[in-house]
Amino acid sequence: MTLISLASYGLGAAAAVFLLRVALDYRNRAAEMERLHQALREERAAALDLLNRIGLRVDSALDLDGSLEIIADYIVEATDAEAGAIFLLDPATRVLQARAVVGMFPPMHQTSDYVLTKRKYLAERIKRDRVEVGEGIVGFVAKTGESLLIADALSDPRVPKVSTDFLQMSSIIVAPLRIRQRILGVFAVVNKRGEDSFDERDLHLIQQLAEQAALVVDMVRMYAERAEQQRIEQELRVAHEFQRMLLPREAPRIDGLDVAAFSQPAREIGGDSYDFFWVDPTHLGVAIVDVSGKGIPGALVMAIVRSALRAEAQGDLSPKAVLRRVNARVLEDTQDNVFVTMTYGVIDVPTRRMRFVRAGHEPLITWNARDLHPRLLIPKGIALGLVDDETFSMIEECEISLKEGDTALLYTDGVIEAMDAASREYGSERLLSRLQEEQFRTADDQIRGILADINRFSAGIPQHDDITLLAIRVLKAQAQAGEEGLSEDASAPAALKREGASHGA
Amino acid sequence: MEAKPKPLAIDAKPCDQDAEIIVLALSGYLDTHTVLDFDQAMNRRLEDGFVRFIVDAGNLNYISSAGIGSLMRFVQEVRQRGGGLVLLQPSERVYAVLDLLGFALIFKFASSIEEAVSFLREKT
Repeated sequence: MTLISLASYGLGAAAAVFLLRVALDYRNRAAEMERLHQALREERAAALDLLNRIGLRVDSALDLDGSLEIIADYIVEATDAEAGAIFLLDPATRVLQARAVVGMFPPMHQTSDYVLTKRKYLAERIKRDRVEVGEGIVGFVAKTGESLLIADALSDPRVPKVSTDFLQMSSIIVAPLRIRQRILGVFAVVNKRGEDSFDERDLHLIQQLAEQAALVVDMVRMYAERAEQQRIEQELRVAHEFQRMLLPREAPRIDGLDVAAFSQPAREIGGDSYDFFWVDPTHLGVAIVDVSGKGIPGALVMAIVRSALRAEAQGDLSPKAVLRRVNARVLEDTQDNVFVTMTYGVIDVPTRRMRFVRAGHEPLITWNARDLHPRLLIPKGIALGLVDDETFSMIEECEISLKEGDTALLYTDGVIEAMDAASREYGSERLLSRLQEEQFRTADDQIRGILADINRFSAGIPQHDDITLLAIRVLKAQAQAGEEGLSEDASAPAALKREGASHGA
Repeated sequence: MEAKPKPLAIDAKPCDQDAEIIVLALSGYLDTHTVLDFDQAMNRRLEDGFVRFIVDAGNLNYISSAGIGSLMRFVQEVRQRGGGLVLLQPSERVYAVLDLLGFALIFKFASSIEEAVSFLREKT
């Protein structure tokens, strides 16, 4: 760009000079970028060269420690050493740890340990050692980033003295695994085979190999992390599918009762669930469950709890008796710090009476079009899986009578604890006032209304806990004499069919 | 956008009134991010030989199920060793969470350090 052509755009001289400087700056930066790209291309070629030579394939089956063993083996052999090790640096803690050990590699800093006299424990012991940056020879090289050749280790004060003969060091080379300014770790070899000690030529060879090894380690680490992430994501997807499968396909359709449920996990694997099943031909069991652990272990506990509940609930009209047995099972099958909260109720469908227990779970809310205030029911109870039967049996069983127009709502703490941007909670107050506004709609609409309100409240902030809601609304009062009030719907899922005494699910 | 993890500070020292009782003062949030620190602090004192614990929850803003699970495990551990654990002055919020779960029946709560000390002296 010349001044003349700039002028033809009607620009003043000062502006023209400014533009010229910008253009020159851009050209310099472009040249710098090109140099950087060239360096990256060369590094990549060097890394691939080493990878080829040692026969290592970088793919989804990659395992970091295995790859490090292969690299260590290669270098020890290429340099004719008796032993070697690769130390990787944890940048967060500034600690080096041996990740691959070949041969009888001695400790590189002063230590006294009986285990060191036993050959077979040596590699394990070295791998457990934590070396601080700056500590000993290995730490020193990690700190300075410069390689070190000690040709006469026996008389060098920096080298720790060992009492066992097979650990005597006669010569040592330690080189940093370094990519430009970044130090990934350190590579060390000891004792050249034969009579001689390591010399300058060996040092240069090791420096070269260490440079290439650093590039390979970097690449391998990135691939291994990515592969691990993909594996985890895949596992979570599978577990998520499994959990969705466990939820009842649809709410039971019962003449005169309106039942709806909804569950939304915060992450792929939720800790919440709900269930409906027939306890006997005229009694419907309803449960809402919240497991304390997250992820796959939590999902397994959920599976245990749900199958225990269905098994123990058969034919037993007392929720308290059922949960006492479920508690015993959960206590036995899970670890000390796992607990499960549950509200479990048995509804006598013809009479609309419900008996229920609250095993440490959120309160049960009931309200009616006629009531001004919804009621919170909090019978005494304790979570499952924590205490023996003697203590657990203090839980209180409640019975309520649901009248026409009544709704009973079960929910998990994710509803109450939903947060907005200012970390304020949705809270029970807001839930109760929301319910009063939803009185005249179907159970499904009521749940949707609550969810919409939670979404409005949280305004896009992702939730950290699962949200589950279950509503039962009475449309018609007690069934008339002669009527059982049960749905003969043939399309209801097998688990909910009246005559199904045993359940496959 | 992920919220920043909220910290937990743990200050441990033997009780003024009884050197065999260790007081762990918690400030902040006991959740999945900080539960390991809590575990470490408790384990260290167990290794040191303490079996009587006062967990001062006066400045504990929040406890998640991870924190509760861990606390539960230590309560059982400590009892197995013939000791005890008392939760001192939890906030209304923390108490409400624990109460709903039924923990008021398993944990011992105290509203003053004297109450906590005399409980531990009598019961363990």
